[in-house]
Amino acid sequence: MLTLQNVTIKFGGLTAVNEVSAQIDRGVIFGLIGPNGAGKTTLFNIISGVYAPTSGIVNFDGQDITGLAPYKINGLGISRTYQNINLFSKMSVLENVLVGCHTKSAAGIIPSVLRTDNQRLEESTVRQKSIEILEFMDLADKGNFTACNLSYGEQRRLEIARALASEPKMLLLDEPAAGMNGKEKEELSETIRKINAKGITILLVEHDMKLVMNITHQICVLNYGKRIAFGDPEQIQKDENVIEAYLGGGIDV
Amino acid sequence: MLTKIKNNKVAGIAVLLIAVIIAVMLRERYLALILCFICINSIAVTGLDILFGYTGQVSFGHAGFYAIGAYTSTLLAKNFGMNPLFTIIIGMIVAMIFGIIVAFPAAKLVKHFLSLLTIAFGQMVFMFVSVTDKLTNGYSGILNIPDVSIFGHPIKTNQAYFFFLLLITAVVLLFKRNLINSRVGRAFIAIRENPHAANGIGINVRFYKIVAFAASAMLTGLAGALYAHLVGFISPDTFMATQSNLFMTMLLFGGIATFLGPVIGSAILVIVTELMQSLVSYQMLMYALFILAVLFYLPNGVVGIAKWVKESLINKKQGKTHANATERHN
Repeated sequence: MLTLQNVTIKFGGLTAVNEVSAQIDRGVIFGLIGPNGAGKTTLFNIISGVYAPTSGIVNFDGQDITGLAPYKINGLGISRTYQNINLFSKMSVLENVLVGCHTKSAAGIIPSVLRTDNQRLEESTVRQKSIEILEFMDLADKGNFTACNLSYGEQRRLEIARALASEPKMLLLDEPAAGMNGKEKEELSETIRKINAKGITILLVEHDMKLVMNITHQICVLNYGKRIAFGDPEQIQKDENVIEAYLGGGIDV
Repeated sequence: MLTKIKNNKVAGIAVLLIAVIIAVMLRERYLALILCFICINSIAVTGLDILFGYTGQVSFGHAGFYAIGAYTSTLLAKNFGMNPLFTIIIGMIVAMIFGIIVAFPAAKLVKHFLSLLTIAFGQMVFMFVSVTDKLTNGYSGILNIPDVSIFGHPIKTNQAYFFFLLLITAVVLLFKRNLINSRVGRAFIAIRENPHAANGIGINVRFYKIVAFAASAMLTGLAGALYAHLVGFISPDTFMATQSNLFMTMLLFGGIATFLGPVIGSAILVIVTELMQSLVSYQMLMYALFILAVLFYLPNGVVGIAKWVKESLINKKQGKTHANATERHN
C-alpha cells in the first residue's frame, strides 16, 4: 500500500533519514521504532508531506506522492496525529472533528453563505458522522467542551478522532501513548486494534515496547536514519543489531 | 422555563430601548446620519472580522479596500451615469479583486510582516487617489455623487438611507453567520488556531486565506461604496491610515470573532467620535486609549464583558442552588 524507495533527507550536513526503503501492506499495523533521534518523526513528516525528501520516492496506492503538499496527501487518504498535540484548541471537541471532515465534504463558499438545501443536508450528515466518531473514541459526552479543557489522554484521543474524520485508508500515529498511564495505554491498544479492524492500515511510531510488540504485525527499526532491521515482533526482539542499538554494545574496554 | 422568560424579557427591553433611541435619532437629520455611519462601519468591520477575527490574518490597510469601493462606484456613477445600485456592486467586485491580488503575497506572511504589507497596501491606494488628479480630482475630492435610487425612486433623506443601509447590514450579518457556521468558516477558524494541523487535515491553507481576503475586501469595498453615495462627497482624507486603524479599533473594542462585536464596536466608536468632533486632533490618542483598554482589561471586547456578566450570573445562581442543597443535606 505504501512503498518507500531509498528515501533520504538531509538538513544541511545532517542526514536525518538515510536510504530507507520499506513496504507497508494493506491492513497491517506497522511499527516504526528506534532510539531517540533515529529519524522516525522525520520519516513521518516525509510521508505526510511536511518535508519533501532530498531523494527517493514515496508511493501510495500506486501513486507517486513524493513532496506533495500535506493537504493533498490527506485528501488521498493518509491522515496523521502529532507527537506534541496539535488540536484547534479554542474550538469545541465536536468542531475539531467537523474540521476533520473537510476533505470528505464539498460545500463551497457560495452554498455556505446562502445555506442551500445541499449544504444543509451535507452539514447534517457531517455532524452525524462526527458524533459517531466521538462515540467510537469514547468522547461523545465531551462534544461541547473546548478542546484545550480536555485532559491529556482525551486530547490524544481527540487527535485520533479528528484524523479518522477524514476517512483515511492509512493512519499515521506519532507516539500516541506518550504521557499515558498503564490503563490508558491498554485502552489505546484496544482502540488501535478496533481501528485496524475497520480496514485502516496503521503506521505507528511508539517508544513503549510492550505496546508495540503486542499490537504490531510488522516492525521496521531505524537508527541514525538508517534501517537496521525489519520483520515481525519476534524476529525484532531477537535481532542483534536492534539489541545493540538499544542497549549499546561493542565497546572495547 | 423561568430563565427563558427572563431572557426574553431582557432581550425585549433591549430591543425596545434601541427602538426608542432609533426613533429619537431618526427625527433629526444629523442623528439619522450617525445611524447610517454605524451601519456602514458595521459592514466594513464585519469584513475585517472575517479576515482578522476568524482567519487570524491581521490587516492595517482596510482603508485601501474602502477607498477602492468608494472611488470605483463614484467614478462609474458620475462618468458613465450608471445606476448607483450597479456601481456599488461593481465597486464591491473590484475591491474583491484587489483583495485577491493582495492575498497572493499576503497569504505567505504572518504577524508583523503581514501588518507591514497591509499598511503598505493602504498607503499605496491612498497615494494613488491623492495624486491621480485627472481621474480622482486629487486632494480636492469628488463632489455631487449621485444618490442611490431604487426603481427610479432616489433615496434622498438620511432617514431613508438608514433603512436601506439597515437592510444591507442585516443581510451582511446573516451571510457572515452562515459562512462562519459552515465548512468554509470552520476552515478559517482552523487556520487561525493551528495552520500546520489545518494543512495536515486536508485544508488548503493558502486557498482559504485568499478566500478570506477576498470576502473581507468585498465587504469593506461595499461599505466604502455605500459611504460615497450616502455622503455625496469623497476625498483622499477619508481613506488615510487613520481609517484602517479606526476599523481595527472598532473590531477590537466590540469583540473579535463574535456575531455582534463589529456592530457594537462601530456604534460606540462612531458615537464617541461624533461627540469628540471638537477635539479632532486628539482622535488618534482616543483610539490608542480604546486599544489599551482592550489590551489590559477587555481581551474579548464589549461582547466579552457581556458574556462574562452572563456567565457569572448563571454561576451565582447555580452556586446558590448548590449552597441550598448542601444546607439541606447538612
